[in-house]
Amino acid sequence: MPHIHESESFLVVDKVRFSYPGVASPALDGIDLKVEKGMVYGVLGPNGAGKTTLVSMLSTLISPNGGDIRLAGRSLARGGAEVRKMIGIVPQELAVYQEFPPRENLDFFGRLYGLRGSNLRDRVEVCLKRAGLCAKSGERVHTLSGGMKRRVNLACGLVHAPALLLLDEPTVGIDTQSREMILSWLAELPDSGTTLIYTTHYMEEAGRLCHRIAVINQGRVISEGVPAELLAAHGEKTLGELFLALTGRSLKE
Amino acid sequence: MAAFFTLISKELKLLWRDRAALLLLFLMPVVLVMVITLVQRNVLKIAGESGARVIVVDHDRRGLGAELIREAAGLGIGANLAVGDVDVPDLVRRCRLGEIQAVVEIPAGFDQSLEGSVNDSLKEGGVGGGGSPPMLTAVFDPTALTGLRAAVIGVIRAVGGRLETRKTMAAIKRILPDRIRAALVATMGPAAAMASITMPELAGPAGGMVVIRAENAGTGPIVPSAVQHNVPAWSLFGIFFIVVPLAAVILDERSSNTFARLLVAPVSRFSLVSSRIAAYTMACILQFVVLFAIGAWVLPRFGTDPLVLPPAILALGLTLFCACFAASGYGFMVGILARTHEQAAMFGAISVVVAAAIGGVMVPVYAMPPLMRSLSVVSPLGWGLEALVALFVRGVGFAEIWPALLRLFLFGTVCLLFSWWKIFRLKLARS
Repeated sequence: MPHIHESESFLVVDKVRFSYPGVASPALDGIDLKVEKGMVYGVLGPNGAGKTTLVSMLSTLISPNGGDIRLAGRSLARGGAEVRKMIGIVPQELAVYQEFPPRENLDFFGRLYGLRGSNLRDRVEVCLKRAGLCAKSGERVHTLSGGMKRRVNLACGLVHAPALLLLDEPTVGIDTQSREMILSWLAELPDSGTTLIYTTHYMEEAGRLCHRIAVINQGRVISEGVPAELLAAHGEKTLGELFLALTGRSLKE
Repeated sequence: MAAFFTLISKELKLLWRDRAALLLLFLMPVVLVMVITLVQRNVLKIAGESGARVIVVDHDRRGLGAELIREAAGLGIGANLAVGDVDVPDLVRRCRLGEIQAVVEIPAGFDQSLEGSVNDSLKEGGVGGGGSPPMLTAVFDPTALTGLRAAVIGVIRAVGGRLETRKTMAAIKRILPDRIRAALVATMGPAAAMASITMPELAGPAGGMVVIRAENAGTGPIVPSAVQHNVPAWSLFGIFFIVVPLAAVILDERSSNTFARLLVAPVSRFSLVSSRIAAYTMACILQFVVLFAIGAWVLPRFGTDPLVLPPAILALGLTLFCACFAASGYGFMVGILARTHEQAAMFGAISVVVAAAIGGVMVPVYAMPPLMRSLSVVSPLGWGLEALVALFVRGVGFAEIWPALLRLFLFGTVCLLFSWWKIFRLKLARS
């Protein structure tokens, strides 16, 4: 099992509610979460459960209709640029410039987060090396393989060394080797103090990476805790079985 | 501020690497400018008299003005008669600004002067008098069509010729008996009254006495030509095509979620929007410079007049900025509104072509049917063209073009504000 850092509550999601305009049922209906610094926190749920809405809210892309989110004691709603500098995001889609090579993408996003000079160069090199992209750092992203593109996507979210990294299904549709590289990279991040919020449909990834998980359904947290404790409490052997037990076997869409 | 320049640099790099966009922005307008200008090398336009405004100022008040009006109406040219205390310099100024297409001035004493000329021409030996010739002046809008100019001058020539003939015939009738009598007495003596009478030779054929002076309304050193009109007009058309690549970049960012990544970065929304507008405005201005250079140095090699920059350079710079700002703002809005690249490309391109057509890029506004003339006031390309033609063809300055510039700037601002509002709605829709 991964080691949990001893630290104070780093991210607090406090009774957060959110509804999309024109939609009757809330996307998030009073969510409460506490995430410690250096923790990998898994957010699991069927499609439409509210995972992406939660990630969008944690990234400051949208604001809650009610409740509050605090990062390192500062409200996301009022924290401004200083709070946003602490956050990195890896969206589900390939959110990079396909006409730029990996190096230029990293350079651009690094600058956007205030990195300059040798600090920027060092971070770009570290990320390229860790993503296994040094040999392809000058080739435009659209010429790279799917797995390489995913690694560029992850590197762009990490180039400014965020304290909180939000990952929205970062391993969808890639080969086993690239997935292994991504997962091993993510597993290293808590050691440097980075906190991860990780949404995925792959239960084995959640079991391998996450210190704690929250299962959400219809905008509510229906179960939360350390994976092993949750399995024991519900008498299930795997996270997949637990997930189905909690959210039901019927199709959600 | 550093983030702002980082964003501008990113935009310019993206544009530079988009070959199709570069072709659309630079090659397409170059081809358009060259083809259209060379096609229209000898004529600004060839038709379109129906909507023209012509004023006939009759200081002489002897009926010639009314006759000109009737003759013009017969050719389908609507003309108004002005008599009495008319402010001719003001009419000429309005002509220069394009509010009136031609002012024909009949000076006081014209009729008398013509009669004098006729009488002089009928003197034996054909030696005319020393007085000044009867002159009519026609002042034209610098952008007036060649067909209109020819028609107006034709009307003057026809009416003037008829008047001259009438006066000649009257003079002949008046002097003929004396001439005949004198000739008979001189050659045959008193008994000559019984001899047959032959007409004496009369000097001075009828026609050609009325001098018509045709000129443009105060354009100074600028000579109106196809180059002066078409290069700015089609350059403007070309820059509005920035809408296609700009919208494509925005759509790419939206569909890939890169846009969301930008929105969550510690950069102000204002920087995100303004850096994009700044980058594309720079590209548009560069496009203008390239096209002007072609007008000044390349087109003359094909036999056209060279493009002459207007004296009001500052006003020109301001016009370029406002036009580019409006085009970029519009492109931004299309990029935010469209859902697919196909939508953006089709709607963007077609809307620009329509705006160019109703704005007078292809056919002057005054030559359009009334309905289209009324629509032209809502075309941003029409506003830009109004300002550019005023500078390049009419030779006026900022004082005359600022309303058009203000409209362009407000159009760009409204597009951006609308996009800004829409971005927040999109954020909700995507999440």
